[in-house]
Amino acid sequence: MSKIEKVLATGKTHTTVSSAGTTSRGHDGSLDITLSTPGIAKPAHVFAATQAHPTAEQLFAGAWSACYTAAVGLVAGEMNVVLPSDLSVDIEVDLGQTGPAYFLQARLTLRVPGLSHDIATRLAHTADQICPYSKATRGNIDVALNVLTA
Amino acid sequence: MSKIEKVLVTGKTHTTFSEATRAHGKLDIELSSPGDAKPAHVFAATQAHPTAEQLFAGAWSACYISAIEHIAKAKKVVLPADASVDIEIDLGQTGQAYFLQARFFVRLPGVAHDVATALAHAAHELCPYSKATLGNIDVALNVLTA
Repeated sequence: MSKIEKVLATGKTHTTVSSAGTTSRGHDGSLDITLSTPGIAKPAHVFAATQAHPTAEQLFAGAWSACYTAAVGLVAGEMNVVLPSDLSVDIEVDLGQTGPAYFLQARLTLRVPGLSHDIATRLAHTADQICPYSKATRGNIDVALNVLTA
Repeated sequence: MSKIEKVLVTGKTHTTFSEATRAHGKLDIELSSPGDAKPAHVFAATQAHPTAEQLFAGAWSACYISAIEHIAKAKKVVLPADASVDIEIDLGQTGQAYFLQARFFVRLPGVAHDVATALAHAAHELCPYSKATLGNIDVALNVLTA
């Protein structure tokens, strides 16, 4: 794995679990996409991007965060942990350069207000073990995993 | 790398250099390139509410088509105006575990097949999404020149 020397672009997404089925339009001119989950007809995740024309990094962050949010839900079910309704996953994907070569790196922040930090950390790491996007990039890109419980 | 036994869902995208195409009832996103304000690529997903797999296919294809452009310029190959990259990302299961796999269809009409194949492979060496998933997911690369 090569370390990025210079960050060229960062795609940031904020993903929440929603049963409303409508897109949230928080920021003026931002692209908000409501995502489907395989096998479920109604939209399950709301993905709020931060600009009208997303970069590849935002789309990738959106894909990863939808999957990761679903993985957190699955793990919580197995651990008998009740997740807060204001759970969110923020992912930042950097496109960077080391010499002439291009690389990606990522920061994942799981926010689960009200859970103990121990349980939140276990949830975050177990979800990272089962999420296919985490597995697809394992060992190839630098990933920082952060947990917030407030 | 684990082989997928059962495919659960596939995200398909069709990415071109042009911004002319607009299909009805689909999610079409105009993508920006870093440092370039105007939309550079058109990403056509195949349903109104995209799955994670479609978003990932869109990200990868935008990057990959840029990599092809970059290498074509370096090799002094003129790309056809109707060049396109179709990517299909499968979410699949093997036992209890979930995995991804991908199929690429690089279409470069009029380009010699060996030149097109060399471009397609070199773009995989350069594209950071290809590098990020190298060795971890199964990727099939198809090159079409007609």
